[in-house]
Amino acid sequence: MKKVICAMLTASLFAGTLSAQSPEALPLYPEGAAESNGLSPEKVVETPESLAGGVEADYFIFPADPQTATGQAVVICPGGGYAAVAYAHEGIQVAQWFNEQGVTALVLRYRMPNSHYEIPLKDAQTALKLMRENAQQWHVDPNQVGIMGFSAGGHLAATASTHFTDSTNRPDFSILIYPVVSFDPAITHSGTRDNLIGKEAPESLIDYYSNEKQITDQTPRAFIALSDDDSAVPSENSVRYYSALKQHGIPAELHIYPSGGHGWGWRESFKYHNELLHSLGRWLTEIRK
Amino acid sequence: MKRFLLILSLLSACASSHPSMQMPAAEPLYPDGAPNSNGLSPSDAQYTEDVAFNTTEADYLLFTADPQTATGQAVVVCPGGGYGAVCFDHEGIQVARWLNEQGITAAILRYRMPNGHPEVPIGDALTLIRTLREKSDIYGIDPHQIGIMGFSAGGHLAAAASTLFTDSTDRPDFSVLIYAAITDDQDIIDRETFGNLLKSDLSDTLTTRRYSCEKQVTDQTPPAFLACSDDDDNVWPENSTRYYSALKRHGIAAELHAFPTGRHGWGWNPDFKYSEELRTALARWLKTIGRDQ
Repeated sequence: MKKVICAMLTASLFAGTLSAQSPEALPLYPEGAAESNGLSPEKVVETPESLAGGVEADYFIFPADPQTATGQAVVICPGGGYAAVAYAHEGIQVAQWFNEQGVTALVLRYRMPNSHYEIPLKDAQTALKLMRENAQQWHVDPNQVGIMGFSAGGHLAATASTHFTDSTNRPDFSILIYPVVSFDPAITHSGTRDNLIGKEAPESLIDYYSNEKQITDQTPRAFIALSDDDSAVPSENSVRYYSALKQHGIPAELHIYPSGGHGWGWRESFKYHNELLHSLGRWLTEIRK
Repeated sequence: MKRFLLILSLLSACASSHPSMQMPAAEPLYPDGAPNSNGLSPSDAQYTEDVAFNTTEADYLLFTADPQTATGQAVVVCPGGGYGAVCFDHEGIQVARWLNEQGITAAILRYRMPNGHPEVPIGDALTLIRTLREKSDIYGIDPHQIGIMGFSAGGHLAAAASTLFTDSTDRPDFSVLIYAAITDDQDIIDRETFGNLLKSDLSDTLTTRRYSCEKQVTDQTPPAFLACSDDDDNVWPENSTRYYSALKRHGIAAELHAFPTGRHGWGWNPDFKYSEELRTALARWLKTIGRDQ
């Protein structure tokens, strides 16, 4: 309890650093979720940057300005190794940029799995469905709802792109930023994998969540960007996903920048920030229906 | 008649819309005669203002950077043409002029066609690198900043030079590979490029392996900048990604861009949709590549 109070005091000190336009976090399951990840609410740590050990899923909605809305929308899954969500530099800042492009954005603070591996995917699918249910109110074309993720959030976005069950939760496009794609021990980020499926997971589960193996000709098109020198999540994750898309004739765009490492999010200090935003903004215009 | 039709089809493969401006004179690569031959007869060779067919003599067009703004870098530019021709305008001259604008000297290599002798064009590429290095004082070049750039089959040539060089005299310091043919992997091998290169059974992987560039990468391979179009159905984009992955396995730095459309052969035509993005990225990469090494 003490830790939470401390974190909240710190958060209120930093409150001024958050944009004045930041909306309130809304519960993803107003009636309560059907399942639990077994984590304790007392152990949740929230700062203006990060929410660790999340027990309740919530989201921030940034509807596009109706005057300039393109109809496109994105569910954004911040990273954090499936132990936290870095919802500022891989969430809110990104959503604000999307709004500038006339795109509605939802920043999803998905629940941590704590080895309950179906939970983050459930949250992502619920958010996609929610976006479509609120299409009119949020200025969204339900056929132009995409998903975006960073790092472990990229794993979640890729999983949502390959494990959808119907048209309410199939993303129309995906944007993967330095994503974990695969749970192949040779290239995975083991912390991300262990937090999702545990250390003793059977081969079948490892394969199920290795998204490069789950691509079909129904997988949505992708925009993928990362750094060549990423020592946290090897670039091979993205290359395998891209190659698998090619094998199924799915369109994709891929940018591997020479440096930057991992976790640069929407920071302007990322050397290729402008190049990335230019390419992604252009891609969003191209894929408009 | 057959040859005429072949020439027509090769001409259409090398579409160019720019009139030639002032051009440097072609320098013979082997003033004293080449050490090897591709078996073609000089009478087979044809030159137009933008394409060279069935070349039996190698030469290069040197576009020297303005000394006032020169960075010291130089690039050997290998145009494409499926190893049946050299399309030296939109994948040569236009590139050279752009490189000059970046303060970079460019030497467009009009390499000899292999005609089943792969060591011929590869030897030409390595010889030009060695020549530029030997003449670096005369040309105002930094001998440690001589790179190679290639398009399509010329990209294969650039990657082959980057992996099969002899030693520090002919090793490229960096490489730029544009929609390059790379691999002999049977699922994506570019049959035109490899067919003209080897003129042999392409399922004989013992032979093709040496020229499958991603299989020849070592920790001495130079860093690379790769670009292609995602919808390229002539030379599959996985050629580029497999070379990239091989570089990663050996800890070699690289940058890669797969643009959504454009298919193949866009060269330096400014009407390629992603021309600005490509040039911005490549100019930025070339500026830093010397410092990273």
